[in-house]
Amino acid sequence: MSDKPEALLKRMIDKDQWFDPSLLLVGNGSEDWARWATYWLYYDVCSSKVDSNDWPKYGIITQFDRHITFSIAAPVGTVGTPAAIPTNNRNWLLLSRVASAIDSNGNDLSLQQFNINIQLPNNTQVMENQPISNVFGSGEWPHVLYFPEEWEQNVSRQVTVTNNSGVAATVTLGFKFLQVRNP
Amino acid sequence: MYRQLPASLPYNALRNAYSSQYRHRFIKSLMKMMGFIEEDNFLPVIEETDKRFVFVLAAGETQTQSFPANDECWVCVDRSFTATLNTTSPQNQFPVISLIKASSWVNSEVDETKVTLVEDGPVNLLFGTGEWPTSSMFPERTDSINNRIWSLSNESEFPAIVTLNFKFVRVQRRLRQKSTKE
Repeated sequence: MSDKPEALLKRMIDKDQWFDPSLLLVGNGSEDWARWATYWLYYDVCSSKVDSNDWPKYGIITQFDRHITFSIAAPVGTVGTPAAIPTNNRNWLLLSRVASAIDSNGNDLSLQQFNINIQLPNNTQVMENQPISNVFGSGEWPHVLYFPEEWEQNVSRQVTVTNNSGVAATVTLGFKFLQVRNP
Repeated sequence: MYRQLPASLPYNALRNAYSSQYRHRFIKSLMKMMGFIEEDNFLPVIEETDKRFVFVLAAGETQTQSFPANDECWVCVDRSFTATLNTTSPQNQFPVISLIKASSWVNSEVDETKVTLVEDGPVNLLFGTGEWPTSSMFPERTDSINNRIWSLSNESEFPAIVTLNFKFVRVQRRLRQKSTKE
């Protein structure tokens, strides 16, 4: 389904395109958005000549969770080894983010004591350096995105976490995504 | 088999109108997409059901459990968990729940390879706080649930009893009762 921009635009208003009804439960809940999100997720899954009603035969939209973990030494201001979150050859949608931070005994630490920074390969800051609690929820509650974020295929985001707690800590970041996986 | 659906659900229909007609319409739409056919002599019945796994984990132990395959249409709408110390009564709350790690996968129907759906992460990031469940914005569907395998690891020094609960909305095909007016 690799299209040129003008064809892409046409698809956005293609009222005959099939869409996954579960996508009406996320985003703004409109059929137009569900249609666009279906197209976004099925992009490059099969040939553009395949009728949209047959897309589910090539893969099914699946929810999945990705986690990355940082083990960071105690001194205030220590930066953990950067980690990457690469997308595969599918487009993804990000639904929510969660985080937790624990000390070496497994006790919870406040997420306010850790800063996070996320950037795209071209050094675009998609999340400026700030406490994790501002952007990943409270630690108990996830941060549910008001509008699912589109993550393009084959792009790797770099994540950096800074420990300001003063104790050795393990920080885990969780991301809930949708993508099409093969049946 | 797959065709344009008459779906016109409002925002957050499944959660906001959990017991209403919208859930029914949603499931009906889903059934059509998955190839379920409403046969003359069968009636699709929509039920809510809670399935649970109980993991009794020694310190450092890992266990795996799975949902059996079935041919029904199942949709997981939320997940929750409880963790207690596996000691003599009373069973106190587990003190370091972040050290209980969960992961989950399915085996590909195409080539039997392992498809990881949940990377190893703290159970409290995946199953809510222990007080509140984690609702699924996008309902997890039957393809993700049939033969879905869950693994728990207890990385603490305490023995634990962990109960994972999965709330499903499911569609069963019941034999249609004959009318008494015949």
